[in-house]
Amino acid sequence: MCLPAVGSIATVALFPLLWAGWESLHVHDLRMPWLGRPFVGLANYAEAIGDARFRAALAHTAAFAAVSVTLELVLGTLLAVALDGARRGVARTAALLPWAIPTVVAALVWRFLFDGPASAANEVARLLGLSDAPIVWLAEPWLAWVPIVVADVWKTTPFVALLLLAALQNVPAELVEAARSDGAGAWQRFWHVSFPTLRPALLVALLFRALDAFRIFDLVFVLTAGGPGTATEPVALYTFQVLLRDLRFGYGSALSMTIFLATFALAWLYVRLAGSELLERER
Amino acid sequence: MASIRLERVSKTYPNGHAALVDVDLEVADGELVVLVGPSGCGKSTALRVAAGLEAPSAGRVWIGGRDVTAVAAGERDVAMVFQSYALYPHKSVRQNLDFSMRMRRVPRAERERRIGRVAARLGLERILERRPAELSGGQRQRVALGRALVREPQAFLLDEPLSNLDARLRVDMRAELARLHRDLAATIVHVTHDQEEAMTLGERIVVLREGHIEQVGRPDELWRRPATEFVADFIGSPGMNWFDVRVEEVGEAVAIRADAFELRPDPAALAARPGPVRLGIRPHDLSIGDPGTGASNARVEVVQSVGGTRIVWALLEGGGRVCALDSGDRALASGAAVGLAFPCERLHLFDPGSHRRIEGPACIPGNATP
Amino acid sequence: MKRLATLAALAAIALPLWLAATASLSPEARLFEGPVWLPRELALEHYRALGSHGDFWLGLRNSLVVASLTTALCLPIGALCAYALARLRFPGRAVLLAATMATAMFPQIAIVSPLYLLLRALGLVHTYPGLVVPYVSFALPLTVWLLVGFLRQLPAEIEQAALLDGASRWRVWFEIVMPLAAPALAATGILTFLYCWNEFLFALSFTLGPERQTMPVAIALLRGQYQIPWGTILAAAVVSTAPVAALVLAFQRRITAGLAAGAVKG
Repeated sequence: MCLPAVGSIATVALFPLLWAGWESLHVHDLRMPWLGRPFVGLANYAEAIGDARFRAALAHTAAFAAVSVTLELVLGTLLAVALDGARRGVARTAALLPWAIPTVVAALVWRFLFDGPASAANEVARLLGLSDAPIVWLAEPWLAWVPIVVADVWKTTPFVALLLLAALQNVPAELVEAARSDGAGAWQRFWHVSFPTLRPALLVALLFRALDAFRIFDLVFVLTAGGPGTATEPVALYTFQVLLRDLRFGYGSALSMTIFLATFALAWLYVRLAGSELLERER
Repeated sequence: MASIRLERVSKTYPNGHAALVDVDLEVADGELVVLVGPSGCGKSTALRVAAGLEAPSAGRVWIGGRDVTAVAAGERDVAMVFQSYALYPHKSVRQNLDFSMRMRRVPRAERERRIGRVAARLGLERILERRPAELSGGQRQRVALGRALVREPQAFLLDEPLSNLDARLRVDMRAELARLHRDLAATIVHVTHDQEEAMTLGERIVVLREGHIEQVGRPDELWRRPATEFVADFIGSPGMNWFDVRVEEVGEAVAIRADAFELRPDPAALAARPGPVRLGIRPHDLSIGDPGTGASNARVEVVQSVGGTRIVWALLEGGGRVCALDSGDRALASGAAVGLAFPCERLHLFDPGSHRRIEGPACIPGNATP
Repeated sequence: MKRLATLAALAAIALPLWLAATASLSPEARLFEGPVWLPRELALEHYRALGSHGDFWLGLRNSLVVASLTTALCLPIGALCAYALARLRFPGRAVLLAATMATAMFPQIAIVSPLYLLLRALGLVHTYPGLVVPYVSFALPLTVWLLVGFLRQLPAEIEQAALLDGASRWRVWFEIVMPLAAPALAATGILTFLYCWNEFLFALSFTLGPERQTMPVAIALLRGQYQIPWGTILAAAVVSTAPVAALVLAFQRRITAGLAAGAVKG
């Protein structure tokens, strides 16, 4: 019964992965087919380590993931708490909307808001007194990250909130009431009563968001194309360039495998540390 | 109809839990056997093994003289009524009844005929087009029963079919089941946790506990001669009165001594050796009389009236609480002093170590009161 | 306090979309004056301009085709597999489930090149199957997970009753389980459809031009003659998103139930 599913996944996911692994051990440059496909062992990986652009991309990705995921979890929790008790339909609608919108479209909208003819972001900055002159967000290496982070947080925080809300609604109401009548303030009620129930959900959200953040591509491609220069280039985008623009399949495969191993290690480490809690959730 | 046999069946789950241990059980063709016991005793597991929904870890299953241990559930031609009824929620009552016959490719005319007959028998005619969600608990139960009847199987397996009904319906449906059994001469294995249901329905009763068979027998056998302490305690409501007593030799005679009373049974009939023993006597067998009559005096604590009988709880002089049933007219108020008689032939003695029945005791001939 | 925070949060979520929508409905010149908090005049010029961008409409068509095909394939395949995983006992079951889940965590970028070469070898680059097959494979883990979670909650006794009645496993799956799984199937179907609608990397890599490019790619590559045609782009955004948003809003309860059952990534 499982055969079609398994066959499909094996063909499209596992097999190419193995192939990529194999490729990464060769030189395979489609622009220079006369070179053939010589086996070079780990030379591609050595090149990757020495590749400053790749290292930069790794740094970008890690930093982005850290900042973005933290913001999403914190804001998501706050939002979940705020929505807890609100009318169901409203909460769900609001939460699902950014998630339902294709990433590309969201990226375009945010690019418009930051870099459009009359940037709304600049308006806000002006109103907040942050700056008088119009800011060209996408021209500054550091500033260019702002729209990316904002867009990612906007898109996924409501969804995280929805997941946490589902967990929050499992908190027994009597417990909260008991805490309240015991004199616990709002923060204490949250920390001692709601948070423990929330923890497993948070851990799951953390894992998935971290993995997603690490793989970020669509958003950056449309918002900044990795620019200015390569200042906002995450690993996925760089690998994409190498593979499908530079057509260096061997080297690109090495980069891909590195990313894959990194995410795999991340997930594995994560499951080791938080595994028992995750498995309990499964029950 | 067919006979069913579980031959030395054991079932152990991967997590180590032994649901059935070496259970050997035979249901004759056309017999109504009740499997009874507390939760977790394995009665439902035994049923499911018979049905083919679970494979035994050891042993064999025979249906109609055929070894069906390796035969799939759908091929065994037994019908099961689940405790939760397990009706197909998205199908109408008619479609529920129809399903099994369609699977066997019974021709349409015959299907219609059987549905008509069963619907008439169980009073389902008016709800044939409804869905299970629109039915009451009692109606659903009858549809579940109907689904089994329509199949005209070799045997019926009923897994606590009455447990989810309210008290009145339950009693009515018990009678209905008995009628069905009589009319169809059906082989029925009925599982319940309710000992009263077991006693009223079963031709033979199998008492199970923690995967083992404690006793198999007719209701009156279980009542009068329970084989183990567990069976004695499980059967009968209100439950058995228990005392830890000592059997002592007094010269040529034998005495059963407790703090609150002393009894003198016939030494010839008693198989017990001197030593500690568990004594049980049913509330139904104790007689309440004036203080001084009987083996012990007691003070009445609580009296509960149930119809024409009274359940009397009393504290024995010398210690110990006792429960007795009384259908008499004497005034029994809380605090009243009474005498309790312990008829020797109604005593149940059990070995404290093995919990098995000790034969005897009987009264000394000519001496009705101990 | 909570009420205020909730409102602020909802505003923050809705605002960007609102601004985009109003901008798309404002005349070109107005766009340069500042953000359109409240539109004073409504103009349809951007939408009309969109009409002449054939690529965009092709993109919509392609997205519709690919998403529909993928969903239509993914559901039965996934449902079959989910049933086997949920109910049948066979060796390697746990491993299979774990492996299925693992593929959902793949960084797609790692697969792009070999998959491209594979598709090229099969002549499937720039075709519908060339997108549908990878999409099905990547949507399957989600489908399977959600359905396994749902199926485990179905009372097993109903299926056992059917088996006793003489039905085969396949019949049980088809006639008993699938109808009961309808809500979960609907939720999963919607999620699969959304995944395809949203997918960018594969669509970008495996197609060569507007004939087969899906909507996200078409929009991303929308370029004007001299400058970025924001008005048109926003109009395209509205047109491509509105139906999907409507779908999601109509089924929001189903979707959240489905997601809560599996608690999966977005």
